Amino acid sequence: MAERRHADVLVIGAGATGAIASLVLGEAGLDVVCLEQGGWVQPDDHPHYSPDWEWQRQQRWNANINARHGDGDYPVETNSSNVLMWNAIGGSTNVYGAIWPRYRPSDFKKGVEHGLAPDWPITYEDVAPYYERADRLVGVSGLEGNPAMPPHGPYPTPQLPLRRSSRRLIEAFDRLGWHWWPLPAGVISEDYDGRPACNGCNNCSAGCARGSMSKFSLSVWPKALAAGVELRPYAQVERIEKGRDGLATGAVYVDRMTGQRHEQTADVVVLAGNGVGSPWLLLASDNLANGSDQVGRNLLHHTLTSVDIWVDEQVDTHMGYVGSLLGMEFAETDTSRGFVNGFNFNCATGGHAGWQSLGILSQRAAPWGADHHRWFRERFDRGIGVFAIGDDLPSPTNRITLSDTARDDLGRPAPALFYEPGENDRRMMRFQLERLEEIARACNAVDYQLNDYCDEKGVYRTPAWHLLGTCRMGADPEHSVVNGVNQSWDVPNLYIVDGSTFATGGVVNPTPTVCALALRAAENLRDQFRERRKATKASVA
Amino acid sequence: MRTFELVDAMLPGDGQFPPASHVGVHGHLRGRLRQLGGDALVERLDEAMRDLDVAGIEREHPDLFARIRAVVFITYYEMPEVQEVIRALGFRYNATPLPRGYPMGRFAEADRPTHGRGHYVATGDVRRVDLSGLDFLGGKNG
Repeated sequence: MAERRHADVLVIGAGATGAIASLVLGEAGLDVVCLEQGGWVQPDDHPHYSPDWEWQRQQRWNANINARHGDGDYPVETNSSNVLMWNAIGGSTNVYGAIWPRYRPSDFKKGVEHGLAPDWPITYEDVAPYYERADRLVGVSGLEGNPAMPPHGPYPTPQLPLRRSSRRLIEAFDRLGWHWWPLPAGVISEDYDGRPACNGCNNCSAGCARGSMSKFSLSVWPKALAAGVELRPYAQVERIEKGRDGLATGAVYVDRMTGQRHEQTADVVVLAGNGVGSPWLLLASDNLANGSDQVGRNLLHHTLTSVDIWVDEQVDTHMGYVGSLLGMEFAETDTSRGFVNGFNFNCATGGHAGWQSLGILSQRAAPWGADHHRWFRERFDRGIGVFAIGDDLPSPTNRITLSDTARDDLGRPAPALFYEPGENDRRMMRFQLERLEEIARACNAVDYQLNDYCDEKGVYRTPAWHLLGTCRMGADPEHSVVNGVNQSWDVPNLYIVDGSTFATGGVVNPTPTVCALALRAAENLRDQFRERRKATKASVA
Repeated sequence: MRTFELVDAMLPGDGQFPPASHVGVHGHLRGRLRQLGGDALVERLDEAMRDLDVAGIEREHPDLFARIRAVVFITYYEMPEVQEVIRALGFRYNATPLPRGYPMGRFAEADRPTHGRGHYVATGDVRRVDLSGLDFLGGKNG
């Protein structure tokens, strides 16, 4: 096994959080090495310029890791979930939606609120400054002044324009007397930081070839590389190593280009592998950092339901950024609804002719045969999509473990994912579907189709973009994996900075909070680096 | 049933839209099914086409039918002749999403919401909620 030079910091994973951590620590003058099992995704690799762009989304641009089998991917055994992620430099920002809302103050206080989920060891106010700074780093558009959220400063670029689908939904929300607000997005509405403004191509679900939607290989990584970070693509980490003193010493990885095994040592290890990859690697590293037995547990995906709505006018379905509005009418707990926690509406409308004919959210396809062409004339460009996305309760049995049967290409046990919504989650989803139906009716829909993401046997098969909770943050080492600055309780020079550290899921897409927390953790590590490189277990608080 | 007959049964054309086989959809069917499910899926297609019409495949092999439909619909709308019809119907429709895109202008200040609706619970105001009405709690997920 070849040994590489000793580094100050080893970052494992070059996705959103690995990029941010590398940047912060690299700019501080630390010697940072980042290992990424995938490669670069070049702008021209995206399907946006190809006549078969819609087909590629079924294939090499399929977000489902088990359907895609890409260069950097590993199999994920799953009982139900469609596991959506991307393994490459920039991680899942290569193929995400960049919907960019923040968590709410109450999201951090569910222990106080009902006790069916833990409090975070930090509050909204601890995170708020980092939201603003992460937004500037990433490049975000939005409109400040949302009365459903704490006040904050302006976004780095102005709100993206409303589309006709947005206006139709606004009329519906106004009829219902419900909150709505233009959607903040990790998409720039004007040229920013060397990247061009969004030009509304609407192929957002295959990522953004222009970098208008923040793709971290184009937005953050260039800065990290300029700061001197060494990024090694196609480096598949096999295990994190630990010394006799209980500290992490680095990692063993396989260079996927040569097949050679290497050891990379470092004073501090930063794990940024996402809610599946991070617990998988810890479990595969002799159950590292798992004195609490919480590694892999409490997997959160969010409750998700949706509706496809068809109206009697053209609404720009296939034009513009896919996101349009947020609706936060039901975001806070109201137990009179029959459950705890809340949910949010994400109005997301998109898809070109092929995808529209297959049913964008509900999978209700156009008819085949003679009626198909009539359908197209009546329905194309008249479709609107709305998701309801809610805060699922953590359950210790929803978890990542090591598979008994599936293996990755190194022959290691692959991660096995088990997820099943609980009764509170199911009640929330039933309530969501009723409200989605109300939206469709208030839109004066000519037709609509609800989607509960359950198969014919009632198994919830969510498109699981959000992989949270599996190395949860907490106030004590008995019930959590990391402390309030993302430092492992058990291995003090190990930081976990991805979404796995979330104690609760919130009611919105998590990436802005993932980024803000990664920035916060990295700056804490930067500021405390001298102490942390020789930290002891007793020093973690 | 032969492949061109299958795709034309699904998308027969109507005088303005061409039949699927006229734009070559049948030539892509096997190859794309193979990408989705390997040779086994193509063999299932061939076997199904020997005995069944499209309605029969949809009825007796719904999973296979869903994949056939995905290939046929997506491939059809990739075709330049079909996209020309979409444009002739009055829609803006690009042959590829980029480079042109669909520029949408800027956000209009007049669109700023004025409804005043919406609230949040501040950190210091989070209180214990009354769970007494939620008798299901105590089992899994509470």
